[in-house]
Amino acid sequence: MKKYTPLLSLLIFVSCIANTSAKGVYQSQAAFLNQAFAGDIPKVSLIWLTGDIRKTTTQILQHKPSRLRIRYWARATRSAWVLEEIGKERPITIGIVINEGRIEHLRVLAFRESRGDEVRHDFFTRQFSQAKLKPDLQLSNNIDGISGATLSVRALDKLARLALYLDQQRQSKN
Amino acid sequence: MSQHKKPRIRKLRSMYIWHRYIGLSAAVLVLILATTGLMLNHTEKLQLDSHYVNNDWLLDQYGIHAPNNIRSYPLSDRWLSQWGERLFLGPIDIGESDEKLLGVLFYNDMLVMALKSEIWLLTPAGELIEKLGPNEGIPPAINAIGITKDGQVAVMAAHGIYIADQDLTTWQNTPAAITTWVDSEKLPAALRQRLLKKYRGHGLSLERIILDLHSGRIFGQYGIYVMDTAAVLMLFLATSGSWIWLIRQLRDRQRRRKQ
Repeated sequence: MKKYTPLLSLLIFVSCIANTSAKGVYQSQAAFLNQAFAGDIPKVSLIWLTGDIRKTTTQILQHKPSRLRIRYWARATRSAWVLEEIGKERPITIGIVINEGRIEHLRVLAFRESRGDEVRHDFFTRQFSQAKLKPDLQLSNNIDGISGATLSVRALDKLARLALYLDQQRQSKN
Repeated sequence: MSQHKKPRIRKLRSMYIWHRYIGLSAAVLVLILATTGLMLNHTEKLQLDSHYVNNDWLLDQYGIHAPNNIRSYPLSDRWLSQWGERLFLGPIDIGESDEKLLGVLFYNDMLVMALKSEIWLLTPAGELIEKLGPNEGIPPAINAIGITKDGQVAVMAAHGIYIADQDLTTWQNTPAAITTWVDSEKLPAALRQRLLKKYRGHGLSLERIILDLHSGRIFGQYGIYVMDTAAVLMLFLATSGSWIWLIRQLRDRQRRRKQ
């Protein structure tokens, strides 16, 4: 029996790892906004997804937006967005800070899918830094995928593009 | 008499006869198993999970009845109601929530619908504008929604009355606000009947029926054993069929050798 103990321990350890869920809330919306604006959060603003904005949003997301009104927080050239998109089955919430039309910071706030949470790590989200929106609505940065997390990567890419597009709309409105 | 018995016994001992009769008796069950199995293999293409059965007898058999907790609120020209977890604006299905519906009102060309910890903003057609929750400053434990004397949206929550700004983006605790609260009312009979049909009709997917036909559960607790028997009979048929083929091959070979 003794000689099987290490093997049994290894099996139990592996099964524990396999059962670990990727789900989690990594940062609250309030904490994200506090960090983005150094504690001085601007008043919330609204953008309506109607007319051409809705059409372009649908083009970026590849489906109709789930809501018609999106909140954002902005001061001068900086804006912060908290957006959601379904990866495979459950929504992923991300916070994006944009400055002068470029992504300054992108963070996964909540991940509810059972797998693919590698997208929350810095090594992945750093790839979005300084990305801007090209005229064809694609990101200027090349984003390397993660095997096993394709849909989560795709969701983050869509939200990054959407935030940049909505920021452009906000700037043109002002 | 004994001369008649002998061929009959021989007949009964013949694998060929058993194969024939078992094949015939299992045919109907095999047809059901094969057809439903084929359909289940292509559930997504056939969209079995998004087609629903409206047959009253079947719905009764499955025990799909109206929920006990139907809540409904009148708007100027229609009703908002909650059936179990499902929400309907008039006859339109607008979504699901496991939270209790507490009221709805018209405000700035929007429908403002209150649940226990969320406010949903909808277009008059029932399209979702935004869901407001604790992150959007909604006070905890709402138990009523209403309109103040000054025409502002108000909610009664655990810590008092909260009033929203014009865009419904911020909520202020205003204990002294004079508010007319929204009350629930009984759904008109005609709409109730229509929604009942819709609610029950959404409860039983075609996929469920096909699955239960395949497993035999649709015929009650003994149906499973009937389908088990069909599976055993199919195993027998496969074996007896192979056996008959083998015996015939051997006989043919022997006959050829003799010739």
